[in-house]
Amino acid sequence: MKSILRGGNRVLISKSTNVYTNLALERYLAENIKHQPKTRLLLLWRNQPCVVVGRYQNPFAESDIKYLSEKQIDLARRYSGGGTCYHDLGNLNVTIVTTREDYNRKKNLHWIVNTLNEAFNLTLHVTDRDDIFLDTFKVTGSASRLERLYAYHHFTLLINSYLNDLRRSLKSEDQMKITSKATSSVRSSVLNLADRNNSITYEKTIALLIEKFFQWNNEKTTTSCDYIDPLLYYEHIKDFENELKSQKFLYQVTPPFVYTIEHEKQPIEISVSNGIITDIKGNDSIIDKKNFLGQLFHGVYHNIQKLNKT
Amino acid sequence: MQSTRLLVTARHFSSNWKTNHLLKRCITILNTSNIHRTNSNLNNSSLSLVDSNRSLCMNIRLSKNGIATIGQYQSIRYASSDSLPAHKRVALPALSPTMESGTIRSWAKVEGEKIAEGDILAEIETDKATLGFESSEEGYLAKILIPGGSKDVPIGKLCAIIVEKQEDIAAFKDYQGDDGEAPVSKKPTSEQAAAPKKSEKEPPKKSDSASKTEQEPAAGSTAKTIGANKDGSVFASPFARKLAQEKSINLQLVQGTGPNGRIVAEDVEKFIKEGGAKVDAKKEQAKPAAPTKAAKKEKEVSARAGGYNEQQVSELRTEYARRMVESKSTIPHYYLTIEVDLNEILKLREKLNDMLAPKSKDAKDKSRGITINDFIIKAAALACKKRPETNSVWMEKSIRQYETVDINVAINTDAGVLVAPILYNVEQKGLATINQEISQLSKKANDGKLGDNELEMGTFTISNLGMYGVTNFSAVIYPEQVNF
Repeated sequence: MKSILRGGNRVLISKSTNVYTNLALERYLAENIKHQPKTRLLLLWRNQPCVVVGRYQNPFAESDIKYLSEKQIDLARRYSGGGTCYHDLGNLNVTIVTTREDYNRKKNLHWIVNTLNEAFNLTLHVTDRDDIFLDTFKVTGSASRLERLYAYHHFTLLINSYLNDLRRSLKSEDQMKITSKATSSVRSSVLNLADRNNSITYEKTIALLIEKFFQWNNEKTTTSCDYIDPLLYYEHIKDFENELKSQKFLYQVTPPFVYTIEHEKQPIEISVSNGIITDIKGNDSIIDKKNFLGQLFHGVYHNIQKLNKT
Repeated sequence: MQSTRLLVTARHFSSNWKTNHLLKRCITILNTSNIHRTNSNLNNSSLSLVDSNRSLCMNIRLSKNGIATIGQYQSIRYASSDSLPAHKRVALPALSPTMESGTIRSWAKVEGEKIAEGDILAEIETDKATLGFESSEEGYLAKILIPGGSKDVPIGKLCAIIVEKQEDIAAFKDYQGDDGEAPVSKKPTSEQAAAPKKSEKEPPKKSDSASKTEQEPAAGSTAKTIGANKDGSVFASPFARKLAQEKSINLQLVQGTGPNGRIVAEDVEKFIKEGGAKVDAKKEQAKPAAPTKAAKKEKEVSARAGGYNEQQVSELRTEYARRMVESKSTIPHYYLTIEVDLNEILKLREKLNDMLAPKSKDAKDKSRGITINDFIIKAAALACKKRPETNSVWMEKSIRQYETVDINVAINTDAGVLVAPILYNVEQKGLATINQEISQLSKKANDGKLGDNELEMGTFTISNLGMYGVTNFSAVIYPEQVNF
């Protein structure tokens, strides 16, 4: 148990494909490993189909909540900032954890780009916004979390994901209805790496990254990676996992917003703060305000949607 | 060739005018004194303005053409003005060179709350990163100027005020922040002015050193010469230099991330965006003590009329000194003195030497003959075997008792440096062997050819000052050893 927390250049691969477990594990390792300067921890993981929104985003504005629940696609919120992404088994998650001082997104991304370009004969490049693009298509989105003693940068890598599901999940009808200061996603057209070079697979990619990771860090003493079964650390990560799964964290930490609907040309503005409806402006005959004020927005969301008629 | 540093005490910061006035005076002083000291290079000197709270606020660099460029450099700055009590200004930090703005998502502390160093002040989101922005100061959060939920706050914008004393919080109740201040300014601006106190008096007095006033740089705000070498020159790439010159940045404040700590262009850009050098708390702690003492000492010395010869202390010597102090202050020493009648030993020695001498027909053989020292070494080894506890090392959580006795013997080399090479397994060696080895090591020491393994630490060091007529001395132990 203790050895999992030692520092140095290491590669850990999660055996779980549960997004909440993996996010909890990521945070647990970042917070508890004794990170040593000038060394990196590489975490590789992937999830069953899910949508992950950034820490300060509004899930309603970023995804089709209804579609998600129909298709049983998980919705998660991560601790790092940035935008929303769709995960499935064809999408590799990479996290690089370092000390706060060694935090450097560009370096991480350039390493990935160089490694993949060389091995798979691609023409990936890093953009200003710390994305990785293949020509005009996005294949990677980045996000980070910085704390006093550690920092992590994680990003996705579209290898062979179901892009139709991706597009469908991330399409939000509510985008126009919501006004807020939440972080909004910058949408881009996406592409799988396998679409460009069909020899690329998930297995090949992780094998490549593991090998090149140790070279990158000038590491000669150890080149082995560990498969980590988060279940073994359940006691340690359960608090994070429960938080990540909670309705509170999913919906109530959304920055305050105003949800505007139209009922027969008459607008109704619903103000939500901390997930709770704090104010409703509009014609009283359309909406029974008493029923809605003080309610959790995500709880009455369906009913509100029904009122939206042109 | 050390860069000269001029610390000027300031009493009040009240206006731009006063700052400029002070600068003009300082530049005049420096220029005047420069004329008289042709061999001193003032071009890389920095002028540091310090306020009455004894914290460094600005660093002004005197460039070749005599124009002072001012760099402001930190996201928490000290300030003091006639109307407001001393406070620290907290500005939005940049996480990367390209970052221009961020969002303050929430404040973790409320106005009036106590802040400890390292406490998270606010959750900030910028450039797809969430940051727990923590305080590098302790005090009280006097005022929050940018509320939680504020988006697109420019980097460097004043967000909050921290005060040292709880009673000062009230003074900031309606504080709105001064917009006249450009926290990340590429042009030299400052709200803080200083009244020159001692500087004008000093130059006429001193003859060969630049005027110095000692001030105790407070932790967390001293400007460090991060990218600078000892002689004041800065290790930076040509592009970085150009960039720094264009933007009037003092390269000495920029932290280099290139090879060998070289400053590259990216570092300079980052420096600009961050509004100044990142303050490394750890390094700061070491610094305030040393400059104060050095400055104080120099002040005392210079008040004396006589001249002095100052010798640079080599790194090796500094290290020895440090170790000695560390050893003496952290390790309990106890001393036992006993008089030993060596008559029998002396007789034995004569006998042995007679036996050994004829054997060496080699004229070049510099064998010294068995000395008292050799006897003592052997005796020590035997004693260690008899009392194994003396042949042990304290390993914090355990005591390691060695089975072999390895003894270091202090040798005074011709160069004057004391080395103590090691004799292994002394308990197994005979006097002759010991003697021989010491001769060899001694020669090597004088030639400067002692190998690393020869300088390892045993548990015992033996040193003899008998040849100087010393009857008793109390040695300072080597940190890893047990006996001396």
